Amino acid sequence: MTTAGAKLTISNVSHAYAGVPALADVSFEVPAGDLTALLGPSGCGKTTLLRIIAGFFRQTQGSVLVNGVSIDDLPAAKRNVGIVFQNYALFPHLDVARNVGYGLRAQGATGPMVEARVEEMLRLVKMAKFAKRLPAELSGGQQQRVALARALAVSPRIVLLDEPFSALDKALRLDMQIEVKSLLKQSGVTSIIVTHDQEEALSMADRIVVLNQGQIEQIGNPAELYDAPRSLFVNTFIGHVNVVEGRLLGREGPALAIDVAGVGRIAVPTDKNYPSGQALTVTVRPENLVPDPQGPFAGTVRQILPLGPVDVIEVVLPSGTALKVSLPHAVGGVAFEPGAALRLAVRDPSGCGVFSTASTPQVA
Amino acid sequence: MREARNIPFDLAVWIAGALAVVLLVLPTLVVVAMSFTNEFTLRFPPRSWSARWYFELFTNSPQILASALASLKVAAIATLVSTALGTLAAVALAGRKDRLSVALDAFFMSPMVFPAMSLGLALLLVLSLAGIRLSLLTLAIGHVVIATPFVIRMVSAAAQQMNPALLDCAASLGASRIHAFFTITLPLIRSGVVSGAIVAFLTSIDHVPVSLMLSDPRTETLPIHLWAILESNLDVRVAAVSGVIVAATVAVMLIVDRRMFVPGRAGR
Repeated sequence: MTTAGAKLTISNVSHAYAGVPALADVSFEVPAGDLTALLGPSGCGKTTLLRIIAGFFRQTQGSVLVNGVSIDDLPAAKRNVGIVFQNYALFPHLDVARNVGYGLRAQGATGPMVEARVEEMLRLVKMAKFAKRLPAELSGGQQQRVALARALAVSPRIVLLDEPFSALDKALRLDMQIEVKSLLKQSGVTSIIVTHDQEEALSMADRIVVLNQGQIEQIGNPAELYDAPRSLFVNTFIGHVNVVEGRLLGREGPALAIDVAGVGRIAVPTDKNYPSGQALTVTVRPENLVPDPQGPFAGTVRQILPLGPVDVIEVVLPSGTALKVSLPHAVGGVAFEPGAALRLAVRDPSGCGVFSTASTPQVA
Repeated sequence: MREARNIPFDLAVWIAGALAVVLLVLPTLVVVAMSFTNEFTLRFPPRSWSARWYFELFTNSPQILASALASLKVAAIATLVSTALGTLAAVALAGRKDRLSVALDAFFMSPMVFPAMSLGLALLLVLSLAGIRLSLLTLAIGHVVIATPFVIRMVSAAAQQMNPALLDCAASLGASRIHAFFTITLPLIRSGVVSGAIVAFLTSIDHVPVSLMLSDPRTETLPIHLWAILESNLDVRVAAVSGVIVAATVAVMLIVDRRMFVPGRAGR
């Protein structure tokens, strides 16, 4: 059972609701069979884009193409684009088998053909035993499996998943993410997952399109976005990050020497160049900080959060800036007490981000 | 553990309940009791009991039966038409908040607040201006206008419970809008449609003002005919008709209650 996934192209799409812009000139391409995440905070335009691709309304400008052919004039029912909705939107009056077979029947298929396909899909999502159950009699994870089976049963060219895991509790979420990812890959369909949850995007997607205020901030694979964010927004939105303010002293070989307020001089290797004296924002990931008696960041331990695999220590600098440090959990816990003095050093300065302070808006 | 009792509140509830019993249930019981009299006059309590007036009603009252048949025909037409129109209007307007939808909704609802007497008169004048002769059909048209708002309200309540994503979902699976209406919308609003149809039928069957205006001289509906009988002589058959209507209503309510409102079965 493989569906030939199709290449999806979003070409200069803009949309405005009654004059209020929601998307501004968005372009990207999803290769056939790829799993791409549309990631951004609420109100960034990701749901608008999903509904445009699905055909629920038409964009103000630009074009949506499947395998290079525009689908702008096709109504939703003719697009062959499947959707898994946030709350699954299973038909409450139909049992699991009828839900999964709905699309085939709606398109005119009948009898044994539909039944065979339904059985195949239910086996694929491990729900064969539940064929006669009503949606209300299923758990969240089971409902999601049925929703996915229903969307895939009609062999769509593209599947859209709208915040698919947000209604699941945390323990189940990771299992379902792994399962859904392997089902999508197995079926070969081109998939777009819309989410505001960066962990979800990082764990599921081959590529991530980061949207902010209707515009694309960056497109890249998870490692690129995490390690080489192109804007402060991407840096702070994906993963945790510490932000300190400083001023450029000058270039020293491959690195910029930056005077960080209340800390002193640090050197950050980067290709970027700014005029001397420029106000800069320097970011450093919690896992890129280590306790070091010679480190430049001198502060006081405020609290310790044992999260299981890592311990997060919050250190307050004399300037009032708080830094988070995450250390791999050691048996017996952290050796510091709240109130203790602690110096920190950057483990790998090339993992720091440098952005000019004036130009980049910060994430709320 | 028992909740602390709120004496004044409980008392108020009891008084309201008792008032409802006195005003609604007792008169009905009195009429039904009087219909089983063995005498020729309506009196309570009857001195001797029999079912003779029911026998009389069904075997020797062609005019009453003819008016009942006319009422049933009109109510059947009005129920079918107003249920179809009201359901379509309610589904189309469900969840819409734009100005046109709000205005249309208010317009469709207007017969509910508009005095039925003026409405009947207006229809009568328009029909006569248009040269259309009064008939059972013109009467049914009047009843459709009166009954449709009830259907719209009942169906709207059900349609607003429906998750709009279900229809988007059906579309994304390739379902045409008509297919989605019959396979998704209609099953899910079924309880609203059935209640709407029942209320439309009940509204039509004992509606007087519009019927007074719009019925032709030969078609007399049941309530109007009963009134005419009461005016001339206090015929016990009028009480027997009431008895039949009460029994039929109770029977329908019991059946509908069983069928429609069993928990978990009615579409959410």
